[in-house]
Amino acid sequence: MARAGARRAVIWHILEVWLLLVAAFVAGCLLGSLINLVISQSPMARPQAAFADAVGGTIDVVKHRLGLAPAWHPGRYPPEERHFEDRLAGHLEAYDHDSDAVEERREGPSAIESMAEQPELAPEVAEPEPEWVEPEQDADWREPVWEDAVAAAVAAPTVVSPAARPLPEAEKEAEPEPEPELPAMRPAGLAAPRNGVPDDLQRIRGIGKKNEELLNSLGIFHFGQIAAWTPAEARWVAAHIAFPERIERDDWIGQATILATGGETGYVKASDRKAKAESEDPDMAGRLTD
Amino acid sequence: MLYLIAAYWPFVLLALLFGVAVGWWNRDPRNVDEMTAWLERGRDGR
Repeated sequence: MARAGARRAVIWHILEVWLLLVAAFVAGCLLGSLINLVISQSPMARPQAAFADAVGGTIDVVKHRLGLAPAWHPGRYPPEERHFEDRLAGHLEAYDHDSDAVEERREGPSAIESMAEQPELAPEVAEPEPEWVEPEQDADWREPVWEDAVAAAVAAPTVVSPAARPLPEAEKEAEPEPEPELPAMRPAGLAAPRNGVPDDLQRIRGIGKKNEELLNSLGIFHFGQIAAWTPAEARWVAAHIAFPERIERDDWIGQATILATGGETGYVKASDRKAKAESEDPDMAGRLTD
Repeated sequence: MLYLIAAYWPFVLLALLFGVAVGWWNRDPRNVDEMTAWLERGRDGR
């Protein structure tokens, strides 16, 4: 009798411990959500996004190492994209004729107007181009003559291969400097999707529901628009989305180019994957749902 | 209850921190498409 009572007490104790741990976990979930929500609406939102991006990047690296990453990753095209360049050329031509956005971009007013709305960009836009001043010619300067070069080559005693020749100091100094960064520029957006049907931007890895809504609000509805972004435009968009580094890291432009030409990137959304599984094998879909 | 917390506080703290991480991640917009896709990888191995 006493032994049964002791056993019951032990079982009860174990239950209590597990209940306590579950309660702590649930309380932690609520606390974590709350902290995330509060920070995302405070001035700390940007560092928070940067931190989340860093963590996401680390997870991506680990996933790649373990072979768990999705087939798509920047700079890698699926094997079926052998005729990618031909299709890209055809698409860009069609897009060129078709798209109002491209026309507007050529003519410029919408882009400039939109930049004028951005006070931080306005001075750079409004700045007049410096006038070209003809450089004064040196008195000793003369046109280079081929004969001089040939004579110099003949007079040279030995020929040293360019690879073996050490780089002269002047050439070392003349090494190309890193190009200065262009100012960010807002990409031309559409007032509404063409034919009223936007592309499913979530097919691009790195674009979720939130970023898709954000891009739509910027007038970006089609893969072709993203594929046509210049680096400056990509940088402008990056400053307005939830995770600024995603565009470059996930190569949105490369993915969008493939998707715009009717190709597949290999990245499939979870919801699409489930729908595909359902159509192919209802039993498997049921197991996935469970 | 208090005696349980006093006895098992390291585990309680661990569960709490784990919960915070899960709750944080759940609020993160990237989990909607990316994390789910990772967890529900299809039979094609992608």
